[in-house]
Amino acid sequence: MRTDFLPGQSSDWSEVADSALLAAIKDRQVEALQEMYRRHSRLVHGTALRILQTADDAEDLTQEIFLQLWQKPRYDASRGKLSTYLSLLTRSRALDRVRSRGAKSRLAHRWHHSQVSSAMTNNPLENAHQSEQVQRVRQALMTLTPTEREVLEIAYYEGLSQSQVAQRLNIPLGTVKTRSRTALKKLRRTLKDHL
Amino acid sequence: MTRSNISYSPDDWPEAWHDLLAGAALGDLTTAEQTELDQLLQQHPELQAELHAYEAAFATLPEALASSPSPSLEQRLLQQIQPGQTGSSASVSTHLKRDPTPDQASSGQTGSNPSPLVGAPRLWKWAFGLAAAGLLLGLGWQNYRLRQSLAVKVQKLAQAEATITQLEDAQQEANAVLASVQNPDAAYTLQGAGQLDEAAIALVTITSDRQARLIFHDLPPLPADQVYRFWAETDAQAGLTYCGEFTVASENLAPIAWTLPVPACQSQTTLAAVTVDQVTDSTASGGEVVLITR
Repeated sequence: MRTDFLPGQSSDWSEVADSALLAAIKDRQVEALQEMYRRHSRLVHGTALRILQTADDAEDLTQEIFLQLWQKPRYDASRGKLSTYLSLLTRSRALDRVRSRGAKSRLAHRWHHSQVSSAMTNNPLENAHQSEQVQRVRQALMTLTPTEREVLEIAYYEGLSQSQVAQRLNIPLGTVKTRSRTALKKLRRTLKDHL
Repeated sequence: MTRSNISYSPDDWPEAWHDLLAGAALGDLTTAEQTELDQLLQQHPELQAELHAYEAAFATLPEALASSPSPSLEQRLLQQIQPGQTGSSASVSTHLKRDPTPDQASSGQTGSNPSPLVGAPRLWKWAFGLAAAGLLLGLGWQNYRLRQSLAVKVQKLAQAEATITQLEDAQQEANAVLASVQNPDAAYTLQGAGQLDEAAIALVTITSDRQARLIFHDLPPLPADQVYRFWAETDAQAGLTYCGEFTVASENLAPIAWTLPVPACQSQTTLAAVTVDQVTDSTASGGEVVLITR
């Protein structure tokens, strides 16, 4: 279990809670940022890679996100978990980049050709934790029907409005709305003990 | 009919509340829905935590696809936040300034004073070393690209397997629905009453997963603060039992599905009815009956 106490010089940062790590980052402790990076870089990079589609762009954005965490951390703990914040921040920045380069059509074309690496880190404990969470989310996604998962993924990774999703899939707007909400409710219920 | 106090457990909250929270997390609320949610959040501040939980659920999507950046990225990040102070550059400079090894000292090869006699071979060694380093770097980069490419294939295979599993599940579900339709105790129709006398619904209960499936005709959408609630009376239990709620959208005619809250709802039904209720109403009793079995 993670603690809120900061470690001594020789202690292991991996046992420190995200909130305490963030406090240490504000105190300019590089080791805290390194631990934060080891803990969340796979999530940030995975999100960036799925949306931006190229390894170089994904790494560039991953670096930008952690650099912001170091320079201007704006995370508000009352709004939810840090991993949620990082995931949504990465998504927002990635979508901004896609929009700015006018690559929506390219993104749509590549929808079924995403490049995703499942490479693991060298830390067995970290791997076990990450693998557990990955499996949990994958299983939760499998409770969705393919059509439910489709609308949810388009909404998340492409940031399209529901009317745009309806146009893309050639289905009524109401169906998109019902389907995406049903899908999210299922995810919420399946993951209720892990959010 | 009497109304009881609303339960504050998320599992007992009206489905319409969960719809609003999910819609807020997805960012698809209409202005009217947003107003309604704002009022609900004021009346029930505990919904705020649930809203964050929905946002977190939405944000978990990429966790299924987490991927590692290249090992050098962490080093690049550290170089950017503290130029010239990173671990690798420090270790390189330490290595370059290290004292010569005993063998080097005894042979007089200190690096800063190379012997003219061995200068040319050392130049070749340096060139060879650089070429080897370049080759290693190239191989390393190619290896990294190959690993990524392999990971993409593995990911696609996993997605294909997941799709096959889902299709198999869908087939099983369809079989269960067909079996239920053929069971007269599990499938029945309700006709509209009063102002909704043109409306009708056909409903099937799926015993295997305690689900209900409903197809409707001429059933109008309700205002955002109202829901249809389904009630059933069985041989085993006198009086109407609450069996779930649903809403309809004018542009969406797809079948509606929900989980039956209690096992009694899938027992042989002697009477079934649909009422119109406020989303905030207790499920201890129902509102106006608009559909009923004939």
